[in-house]
Amino acid sequence: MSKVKMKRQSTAVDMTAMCDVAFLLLTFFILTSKFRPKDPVDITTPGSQAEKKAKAVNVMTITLDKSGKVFFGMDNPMVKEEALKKIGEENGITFTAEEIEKFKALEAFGVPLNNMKEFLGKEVAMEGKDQPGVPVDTASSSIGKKSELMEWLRLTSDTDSELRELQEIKSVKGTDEGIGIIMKGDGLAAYPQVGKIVKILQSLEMNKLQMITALKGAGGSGEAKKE
Amino acid sequence: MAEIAASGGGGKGGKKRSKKLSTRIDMTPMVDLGFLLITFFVLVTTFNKPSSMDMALPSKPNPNDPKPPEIRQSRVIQCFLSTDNKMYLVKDVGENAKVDSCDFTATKSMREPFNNFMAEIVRDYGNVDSAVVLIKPMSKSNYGNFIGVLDEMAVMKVKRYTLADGTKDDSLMVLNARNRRK
Repeated sequence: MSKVKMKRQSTAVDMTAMCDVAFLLLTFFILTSKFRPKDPVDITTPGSQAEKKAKAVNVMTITLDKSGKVFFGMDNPMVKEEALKKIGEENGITFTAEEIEKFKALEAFGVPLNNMKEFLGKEVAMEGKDQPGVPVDTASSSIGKKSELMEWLRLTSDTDSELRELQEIKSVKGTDEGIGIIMKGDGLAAYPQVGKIVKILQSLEMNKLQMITALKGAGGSGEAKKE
Repeated sequence: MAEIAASGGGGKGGKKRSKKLSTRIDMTPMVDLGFLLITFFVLVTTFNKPSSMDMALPSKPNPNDPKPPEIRQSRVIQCFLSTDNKMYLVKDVGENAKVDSCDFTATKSMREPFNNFMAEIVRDYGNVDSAVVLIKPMSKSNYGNFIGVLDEMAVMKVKRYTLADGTKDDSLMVLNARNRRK
């Protein structure tokens, strides 16, 4: 009986296709991943066991640093532009197209409105730690008897709802609901400043606030870590 | 695809015929690396989102609103945030007031004193949800402690808690409590 000779098959698989797929996906993820917006100042957020992820799109961010300085930021460039124009109009400041472009590139700012023109005109951007912060109470306001932070919050939220009504920003994910308010505070920031911000939000009827915290394991406590 | 066109014998004038090497490259390590990087990027993009805590602020009081029902003081726990990561817990007011203190450092957490007060409320009112917690951060407290209390509220599943302003009487009470403990 003659043996049927089986043809030996190679066990090496051609990896080329798999390699292609892997790198295609890799490219996709690298390109789509968005870098986390840089904070104007170093913030050590207090720890909590909350696991809910913060809203990331269509938000305004109030950053509060250790010394109580407040920075204000928006994420939508369209909203930024309109809000800046509006606040300028209401307070008799006209911003040039160049200044508006610069403002749109900012993640957050911490300057009073009367210094805004000078701040935007700077060749080298001012570092966060050199910025004086957005005035919170009416006493330190540069625009008369209004709280500057309140004006920013009010105008930003107005702008957002107007733009959404015009359906200009409807295509952006997450904009079906109103603009979110995010507070990112340093654990060592003194409370009175937080209280003031809360009061401002309440008076604007913005009653939903998300506070950014660092995730930590169970059983901890809310001690503010000293560096 | 991965084969590179064999460049024939090449070599020294074609005299010496070199052995034809396979031009097939082993792609396995490259695939490994590719997937490793993918995993990294996927994980980094999802974990990069910071976690957050929601807080509903009490809305502005409207003078036309009906007067809110009064709450019996014996089911109110007040949390005063003080300096140095300290907190004073006060249950009830006046003569019946019970004061306890705790610390946001790991040595003495707020769980124990808080749970004691909660147990009293459960004893008097039947269930945990009867408790009302007022969080009153005093002027010397910090944001971290404030978040700490809110976190405890979430962990201990306290249903009714709110942020309130500390009054002058409150600070006096805290001061007294502190002196008594010294």
